[in-house]
Amino acid sequence: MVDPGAPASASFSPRLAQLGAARVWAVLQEVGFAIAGKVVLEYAPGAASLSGALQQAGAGALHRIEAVPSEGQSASEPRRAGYDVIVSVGGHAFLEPEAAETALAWFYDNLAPEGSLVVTTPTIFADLTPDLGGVLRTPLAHLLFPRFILDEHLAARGEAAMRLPAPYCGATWLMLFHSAGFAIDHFVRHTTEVPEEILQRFADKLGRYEPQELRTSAVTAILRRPAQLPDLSPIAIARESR
Amino acid sequence: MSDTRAANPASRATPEKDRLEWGRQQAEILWGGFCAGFDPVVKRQTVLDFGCSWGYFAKYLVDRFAPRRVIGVDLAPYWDTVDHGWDWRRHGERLAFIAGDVAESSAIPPGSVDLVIAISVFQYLPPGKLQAVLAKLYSLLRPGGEMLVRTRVFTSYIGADLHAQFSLPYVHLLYPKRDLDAFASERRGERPRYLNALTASSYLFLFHQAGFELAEIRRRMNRAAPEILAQVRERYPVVAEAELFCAEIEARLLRPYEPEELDAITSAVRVRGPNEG
Repeated sequence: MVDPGAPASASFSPRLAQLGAARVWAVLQEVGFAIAGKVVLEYAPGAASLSGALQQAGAGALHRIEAVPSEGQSASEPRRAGYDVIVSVGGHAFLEPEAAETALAWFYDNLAPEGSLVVTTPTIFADLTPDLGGVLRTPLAHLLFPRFILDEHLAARGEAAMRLPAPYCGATWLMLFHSAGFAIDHFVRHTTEVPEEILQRFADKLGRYEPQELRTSAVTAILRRPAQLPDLSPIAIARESR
Repeated sequence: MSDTRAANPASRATPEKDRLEWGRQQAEILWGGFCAGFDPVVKRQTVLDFGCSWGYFAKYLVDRFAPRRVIGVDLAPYWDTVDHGWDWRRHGERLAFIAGDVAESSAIPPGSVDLVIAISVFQYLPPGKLQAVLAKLYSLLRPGGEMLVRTRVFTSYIGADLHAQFSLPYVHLLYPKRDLDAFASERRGERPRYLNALTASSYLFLFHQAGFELAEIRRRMNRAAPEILAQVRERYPVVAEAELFCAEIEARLLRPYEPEELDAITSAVRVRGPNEG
């Protein structure tokens, strides 16, 4: 049983972060991922934490960061040999599109060869309406109305603007993971909890999206930094022939 | 694939793309193969050509139709720096070019554009930048105005623009782009151009998020090298083919009327009477 632990930071959905922690743990258990004896870094910006569960699972050492260092900065607890496992249960890096690419590169650089990144993130098709304190009750409101309309609606009711995840569907996340250099060991799509009847009711708006992507509210992946780089020479075009 | 727009600095190095005749042919291909399918109105309209390169498509629009005005926008003033031999200034007020970042520019008044055309540009923008650009283009359109978009998506067989460095189609889907970029950088001494990793559904969401109504969407699918495409299919069993095999999106996007704008029109009709023009 996972205790999500620390309370949510104000700038990230506590519900999604806690869901993320639970999803990561469920996937790790499902695939029998071994934590015992490994040096683990947890990226969990105050929203949710798996620290207790990771310790119980026998992590050799457990480090934690709340922010991914920006380019040129080193981590507060840099580990020269790289971590065996990095666990990310969702944070600011996965809200801003460019920050996500930077974070993935940082995770890759700070993993030991054959080390694993365990990551979960909501997609743009996550239902964010439950995070709006009852001000909006229409499921998937951000897919039915433009952002500025929603923000005006919320502002008129004294609410802050809607916080959206990075604008990526599950397939785009998968491409980002692959582009960052990772081998994809496991990729799990979490199916939306929005009833099919609702998706059909708003088919004029939602029917534009590829159905599998529309129904994927979050993804969890176990990614691996390969020990060796691929040999690209055989497929490279010789410079003089171009 | 018809992704022939010469709107990026990398393609500036190709002299034939700077020639007037090449531009005329490309503009005809783009109009016939893309724009005409959406039947846009150009006559007496103000048209914004976003990512216009040296202006060959803007030239085509001005020469062939009778627009009120065509405005070409690109990051650098290729219309003045490329040796195309075209005196674009002779078109006077009907043609203007603006160099710079449209998201940061105030050179075009909000609501003053009838039609935006953006061909093979969005793939070069980081997603955060694309969000800002889409918001800006939306604001430049008048209510009821429309935008025609053609953009390559990451799952295109040339989705990472590495076809000059690697002979394998879909290479970026089979090998990590990080490794491909590093290899190409080492060979050429310069890092390959940035392309975003957006797939089709993410693009559609970004269009919607900016406020556009998705009036017509066409997915152009990969057809190149079926045997390599089969390897891609094997590599990504968790992605549906409609998403994974998409090479380009073509879209007609509308800036819808907002309620107060419809109210204003209704009031005007009431004051003037429906048949008073």
